[in-house]
Amino acid sequence: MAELSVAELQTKAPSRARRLSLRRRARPGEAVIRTILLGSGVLSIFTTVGIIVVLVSDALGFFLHPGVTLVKFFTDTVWAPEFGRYGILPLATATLITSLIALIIAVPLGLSAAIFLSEYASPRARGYLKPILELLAAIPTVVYGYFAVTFMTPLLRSIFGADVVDFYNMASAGIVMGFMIIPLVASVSEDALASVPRALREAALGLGATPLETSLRVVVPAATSGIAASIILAISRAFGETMIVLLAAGAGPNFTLNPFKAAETITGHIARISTGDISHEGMDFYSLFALGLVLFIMTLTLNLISRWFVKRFREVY
Amino acid sequence: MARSITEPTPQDFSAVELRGDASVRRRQVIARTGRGVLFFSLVLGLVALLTLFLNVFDKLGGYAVYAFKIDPLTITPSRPLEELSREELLALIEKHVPEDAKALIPEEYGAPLEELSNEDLVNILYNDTPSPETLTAKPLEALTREELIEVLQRNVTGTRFEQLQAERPLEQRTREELIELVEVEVLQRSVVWQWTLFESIFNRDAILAEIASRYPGSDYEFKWWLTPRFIASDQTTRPETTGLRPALLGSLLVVILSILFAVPIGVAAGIYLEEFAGKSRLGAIIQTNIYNLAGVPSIIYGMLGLAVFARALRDFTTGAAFGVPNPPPNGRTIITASLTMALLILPLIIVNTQEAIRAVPQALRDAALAVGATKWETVWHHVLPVAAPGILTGTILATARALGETAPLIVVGAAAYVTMDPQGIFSSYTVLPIQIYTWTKLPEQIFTRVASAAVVVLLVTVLAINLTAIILRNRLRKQI
Amino acid sequence: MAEVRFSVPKQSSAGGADNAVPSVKMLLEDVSVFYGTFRALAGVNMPVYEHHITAIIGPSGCGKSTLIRTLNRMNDTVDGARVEGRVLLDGEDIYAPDVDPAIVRRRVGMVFQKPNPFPKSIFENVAFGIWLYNKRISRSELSDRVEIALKRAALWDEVKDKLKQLGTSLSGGQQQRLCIARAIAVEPEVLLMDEPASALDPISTMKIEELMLDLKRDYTIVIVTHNMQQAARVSDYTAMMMMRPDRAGELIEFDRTEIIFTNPKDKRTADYVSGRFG
Ligand SMILES: Nc1ncnc2c1ncn2[C@@H]1O[C@H](COP(=O)(O)OP(=O)(O)OP(=O)(O)O)[C@@H](O)[C@H]1O
Ligand SMILES: [Mg+2]
Repeated sequence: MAELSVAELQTKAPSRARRLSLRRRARPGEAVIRTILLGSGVLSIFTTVGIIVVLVSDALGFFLHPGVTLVKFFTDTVWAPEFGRYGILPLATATLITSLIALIIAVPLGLSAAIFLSEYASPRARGYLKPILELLAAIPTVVYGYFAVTFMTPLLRSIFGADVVDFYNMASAGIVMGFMIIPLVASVSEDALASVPRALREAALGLGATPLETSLRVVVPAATSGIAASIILAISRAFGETMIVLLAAGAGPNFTLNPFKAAETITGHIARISTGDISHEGMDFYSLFALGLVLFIMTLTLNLISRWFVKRFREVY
Repeated sequence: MARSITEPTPQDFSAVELRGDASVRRRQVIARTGRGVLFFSLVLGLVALLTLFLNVFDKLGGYAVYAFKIDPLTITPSRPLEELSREELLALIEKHVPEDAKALIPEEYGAPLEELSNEDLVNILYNDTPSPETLTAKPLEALTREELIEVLQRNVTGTRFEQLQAERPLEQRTREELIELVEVEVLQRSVVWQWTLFESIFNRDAILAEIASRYPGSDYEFKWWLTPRFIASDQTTRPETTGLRPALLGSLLVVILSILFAVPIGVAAGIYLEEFAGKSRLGAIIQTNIYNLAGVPSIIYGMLGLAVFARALRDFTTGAAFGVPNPPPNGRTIITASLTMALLILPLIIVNTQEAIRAVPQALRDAALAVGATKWETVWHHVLPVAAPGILTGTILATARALGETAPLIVVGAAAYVTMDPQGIFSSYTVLPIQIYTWTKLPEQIFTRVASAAVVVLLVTVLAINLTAIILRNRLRKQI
Repeated sequence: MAEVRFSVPKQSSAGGADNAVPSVKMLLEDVSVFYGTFRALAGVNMPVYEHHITAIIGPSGCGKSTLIRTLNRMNDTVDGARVEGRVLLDGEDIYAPDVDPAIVRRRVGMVFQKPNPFPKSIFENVAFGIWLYNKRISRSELSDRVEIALKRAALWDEVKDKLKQLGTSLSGGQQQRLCIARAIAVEPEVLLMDEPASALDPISTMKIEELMLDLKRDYTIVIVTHNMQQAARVSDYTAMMMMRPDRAGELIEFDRTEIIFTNPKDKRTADYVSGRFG
């Protein structure tokens, strides 16, 4: 093709002399698309609304039942709907005990791992370890449940004796839940530690502090709110975890503080009861939603607090 | 430490040598110990998780001792004793009648053995052997292929026979395969005891000795649970014959459908929040809402699904409204599970989409806007193509999540015993993690070995999917 | 009408083709810009003359980019940005409620400080804008238009054999000329350039300057620059901006370039252009 000059080209493809009007054009397609995008965003609100409506309305079916009072719900130590006893305490204590055990495992280990990763590990080591943490966080919880039943429980029973440790017990579930939560604590705290400015570290090191003093006295305090967020998130996660406790903690409500005894948690109870061919009416069914509502309020509160902490450390740096 | 800052005297300088005094050295020791403790806890965490993997693999195989629940000779072809010749009868008596009974024969029948009639000989066999019917039965190993197939046909149920035929026509199987089939299906050859994988590897001799003393003459082998047969078979009630196929297909359907529901909506919501919501109040509300949804325990989604999809919309989710016959009870269908799972992964997809879109440089948007593109044209032609790999990464992560989630599906009702493949979106179903749960929960210990095979399948799939996503994302980070 | 504080240019003493009084292409009337509550620009009044190059100079942070981005509603993309006053394009206010910002940008094109080619082929980079407003354009006409634009941007010879290559694979100077080609391909009436050469080497800078002088015949050009020589070399008019104590930018002087550089009325302008300031 022969080379054409700009002028020749312009005669071949004349530009539009007419000036475009500035007036807004009708773009019906875009209006539709905008509506769809907005609708998709709003749908997520419907999910929340749906959760709240479902939990509250069916929980009302429970709380309005003549045999149930709020006081009894929170103070009775027996949960036996078939005998008209509706005390959340046995389920709640089991949830608290398993979660507490999990935190005792996960917080020190997860935090130490985070400090090591952010303050000591070489960039190369971090490059390998962080994805490993992520992979571990991705292990389905039913696998942890399997681990609790087939490894942790026999181990505990062989250490403390089969007469001390029940086959289903809260300790096994709690410990394994702790393992499950380590990656969560580690990665959220690591984010917080990593966002502490370098200058602060260098200032401390420059004053002659050892790396340990720098990380424990300077970096960790500076990242407190992020670390707090990770711990609260871990609590929320432990409260809501189902499969591990369902498999390993126990198959019936039991009001006990002994971690070696079997006791069912709130989530475990909801899951176990709905496994059977439960009828979609009646107290059994409604009571599940009352439990679900309590669980939802607890985890939502914790998540809000944790987000507040996260926001705070974002604001500082 | 708390000394006030004054001009250092010359002594101060001389006191701090480069190698440090005792207090400095003590601090250094503490520092090194502290570092060690931190490192140790990281290692401890990793070891705990390594134990998890090893434990699963430990259950995957090992030496197993078998026993037949049914005597093989009772099911193989045999001839009635009445049809046997005199020599054959005498030989059987010689072989099977105990010596003390033999000694009593002349007294009982009034004549020595050699002089008795055939009829008497048959009677002797009936009276003095423990299982006279099986005396002439051929051992399993002596049967021809045709005979083996006939044995199968006579002794398993019609549906099971058809299932086996469907897996692979019996005519095409080798004689060894047929014998094994008869042993497993008809004789109910089952594992009486199995050692773990590591025991079997490291304690092999001790185990073989124990087999010889505790289970003399019994049949044993090194048994793996994760086999192609296991992956490809229907679910049954026996650990030796059960399989994973319905669960695999169920998982596949649920994951694909939930991704199909959640990805378009999630990506659209992500686009809205990043590109169109601006600082609007509605945008802020949606954003907060999504962060909160991401923290809602998965079992709560199960309750939402139970109340909305399985109960309120039951006629639609079972297909009854569309005239589908025999809907499963309580709305326990693939579609219920998929919708529930879609809601669960929606926040994950939205947040990942937002991150991917946020990573697209503003300069690119400016470039498109500056030639007169509208906001949507900019997003569609320039932002989305650049954000696509990031969005894909998010989708992959969501897939892994949907594959491994168990609790919500238990609540919406997947745990029923399902032997067959899902037949469509209105079919009842089981999924991989539910299958693991069910098997682990069964009282027979040997099912935990079956579960280990399913765990390995689930773990490998989920970790492979996640690894893909991580690699993809790290590539992207390098590019930007 | 707001009070106009700039001196209406007299006929050019340089004579020649420039003798006629240039017509006003764009006019800023008492324009203030806010980022949230922060006022970045305070009451700017200024004309942009057709087929001339107007340079905006001033110390860093005084609101030059803010001002030039106001001319094609680019600031709409910034959350919380708000414009007061009027910006006229051929007598029409581009901030009037029924105006389509996409069409404003169509008519007032822009080249940015950092070259920002699309991560697509060179051809697609230039063709995208053309195609947007003429989706049924034939392939051959599209190629012709792309070729025109690349030639006018003095890039054609360097890229004609690799139109399918990624625009991002070019050198910085080439990328910037690609961005110019992309901007002029849609035949805007005004071309805004925010420090178009600041990220480039001297040779590329020179090429871009030559290009501007060439493009002046067909376009009206507004350029922000920190380079006084550049402003003096290429521009016909110069706007001098400063930051007030409250950090809001204001226009302190607007005049023909040679007057700004030789005989400014404001002492601060004199200090700035002679390098005694900022
Ligand atoms: N998106 C924004 N949001 C808030 N403030 C902004 C934003 N963009 C610019 N500003 C502020 O407006 C003022 C003017 O900025 P502008 O970028 O217009 O300056 P400039 O003259 O172009 O500076 P430079 O010569 O460094 O490019 C500055 O104080 C800046 O901090
Ligand atoms: Mg600028």
